[in-house]
Amino acid sequence: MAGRRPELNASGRQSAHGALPEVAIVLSQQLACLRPGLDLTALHHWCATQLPGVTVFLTPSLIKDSGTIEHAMTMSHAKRLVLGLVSGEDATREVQILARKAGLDPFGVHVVDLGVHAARYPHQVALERAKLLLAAAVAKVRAYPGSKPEHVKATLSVTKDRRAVFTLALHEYRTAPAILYERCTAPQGCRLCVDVCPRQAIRVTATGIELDKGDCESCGLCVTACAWDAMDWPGYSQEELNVFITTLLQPHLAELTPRGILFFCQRSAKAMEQLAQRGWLYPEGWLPVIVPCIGMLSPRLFLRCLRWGATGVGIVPCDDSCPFGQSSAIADRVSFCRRLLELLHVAPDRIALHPFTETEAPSWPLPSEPIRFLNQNHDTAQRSAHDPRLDVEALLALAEAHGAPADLAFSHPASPFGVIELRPDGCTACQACVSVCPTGALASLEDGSEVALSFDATQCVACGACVSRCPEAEHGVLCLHRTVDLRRLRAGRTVLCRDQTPRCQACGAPIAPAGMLSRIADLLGLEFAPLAATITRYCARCRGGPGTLS
Amino acid sequence: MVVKGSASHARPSGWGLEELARLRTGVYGVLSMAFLPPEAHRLRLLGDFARSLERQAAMLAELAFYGPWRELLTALTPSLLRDAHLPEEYVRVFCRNPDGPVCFPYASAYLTASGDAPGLLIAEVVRYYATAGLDIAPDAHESPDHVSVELEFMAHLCATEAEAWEARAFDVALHALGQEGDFLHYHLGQWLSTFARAVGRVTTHPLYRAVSETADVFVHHDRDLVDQLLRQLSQSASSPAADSSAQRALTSREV
Repeated sequence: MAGRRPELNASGRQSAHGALPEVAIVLSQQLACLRPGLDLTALHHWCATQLPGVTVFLTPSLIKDSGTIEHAMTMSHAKRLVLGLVSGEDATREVQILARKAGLDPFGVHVVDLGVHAARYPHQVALERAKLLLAAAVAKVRAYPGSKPEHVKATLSVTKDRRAVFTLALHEYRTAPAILYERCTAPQGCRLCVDVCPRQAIRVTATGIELDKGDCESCGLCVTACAWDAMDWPGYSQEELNVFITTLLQPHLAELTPRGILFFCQRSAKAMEQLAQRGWLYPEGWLPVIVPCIGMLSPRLFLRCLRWGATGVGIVPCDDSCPFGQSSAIADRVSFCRRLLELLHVAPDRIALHPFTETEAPSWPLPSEPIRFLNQNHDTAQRSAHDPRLDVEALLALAEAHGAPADLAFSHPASPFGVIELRPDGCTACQACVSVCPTGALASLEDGSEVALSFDATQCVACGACVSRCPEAEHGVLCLHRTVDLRRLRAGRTVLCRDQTPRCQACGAPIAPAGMLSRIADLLGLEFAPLAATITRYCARCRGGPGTLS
Repeated sequence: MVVKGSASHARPSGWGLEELARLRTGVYGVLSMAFLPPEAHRLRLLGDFARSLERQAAMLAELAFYGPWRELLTALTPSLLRDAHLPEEYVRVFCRNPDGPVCFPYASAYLTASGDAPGLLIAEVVRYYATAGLDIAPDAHESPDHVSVELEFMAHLCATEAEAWEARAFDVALHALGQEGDFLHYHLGQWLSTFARAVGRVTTHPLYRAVSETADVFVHHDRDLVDQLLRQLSQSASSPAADSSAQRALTSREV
């Protein structure tokens, strides 16, 4: 390797850009050989001048020249890596080995399949698409938080061999989500991830839940289902996804309009690769985002893409044989988005499912103009991952801009917006629902003599954790309606019920909400009437120890 | 900038399970030694031992713990032998630290529920050793639940497994593999990560940072690897082409 170093032409920039980690981009020279081909000189120049903290390298072949990555990382002092390759060249296992040898976290390396998604388009379009895809990949690898041992999963096979009887072939490593126990509310009864896992890889234990990596197939459904962000998956976190998409839509980065976001799952991306090899390309304005399974994407994200400036959102599902059984769930989410847009007086075809056909090139239409919002704001992109209120602000702005009815209320089983309905006469104000609400949509306010339960529809993500936790839910006291209700969304926080808090007859401190005390007395019945009387008259401290109650 | 690499990267065709078990034996051995007090002869041996594993660098580079392992090799420089601060750091991190937390290198410090006597857990560990035909030496300096002793036990199981694969004694190999899985799942894997991450937070010395990170990554990796091997071998056993003695050995064990 040392003998080859003088051949390097140090035209890349080695800049220090504050807190941004330096990134190396390695581009395969084979991209120039495809037809019509990619102008690598122009791309190299653009990356080196327009992307701060990035050094660009060209390589004849990444895999055959095993020292490429190590050398590029040494030369650039970069901590992150983006590879722009021709499809088929990106052997995951080899890339992982090379990255490891270069001292990199292999899961932080982003491989852009420029062969399928850029180089086969007409010259100028290919260049503009490549700029956007590389810029987005750079932004994503900078947001990569790093993997931990618990995320790593080996895929291997054991075969019989004459030499050694059993031979181990290690295919590659993959990442799997890991539970952040400090955030997980499974011990409080939450089962959102357990319920969505299509492989039953998340199991309930005596103390909470555990994920069996051996059974996990890394679909990512649990990551989106967890409203507490307790499923940690570097490479596919909401932040990384958001930063990738918003960079693709940055108007100043490339001369490509209109732009739409096209979501592929890993299987449909493979199918697209085969179509591209036949010369069948999708229309040039669509920009690909590849995720493990589209079932991990919330309808909120589809709507957010429109807010961030996409003129359309396309969803390319694998087919009816989705290994995770998500076909109908995905169709439901798209149908929700389309119906919502329609009710808001926006053309519903802005969001559409685009299944493959074997007989013709994909001709998925892309609207030419972005949707008009009253307060479109790109800067909020990062925050929106964790703040559902920003989605509601956009929804209301959209409704206003397009003259949607002020009292629009629309229910749909796939709605990620929810409204809680509470029957005050049955609620004991125990506040169990408040304790499990991940976003603070349900809240309680106590002032010593009264407790008030309130709800803010703008913060509700319709996770249903409150309903599963409510001890009175089976009596229909607490209900979640998967509804977009513009009036409720505009109303902000409203009080659902109030209850008095009786005071201790001994010390005057508040005991508990009256409804709760009355429920306890009912449960204890006549048999334990004296105990019930003690509990309803005295606070926990004045009731004394076990001796007092007996 | 055009990068041209040197030698082409040959894709290995696969390894024998005995090769893998030998490599794991070596890594466990290195880690076991690294958590013992840093005496000069031991450090010299540690460096030689770790570097001898570099002969299997191609295999190591394919494994996920290669990154931290390389850091560990870098830390094991000859200058380490002359580092006067190393024994001090060992005592500060693992034995006594008036200025901060101590990372006790004993399983009982992490796995003993409040109110339980540590002796119960130590007795459990000794039972694991006994099932592999091992006993605690009368002159042993360390408690049976010391991290070094537990890592050495794993090295012993891996060595047994390697010898058995070489001798085509499938039942012995699988038995050892099963013991490794049990010990990793129910004991070592339950506490080592907490301990290693605590060490990583407390120490600033490159050796102990590298050792703790390698131990964390390697034990996680090994637990998954053993799990997957047992699953895969069980599938091989059920295939019609499976060697009859392998089939017998595999089906006799619940995996």
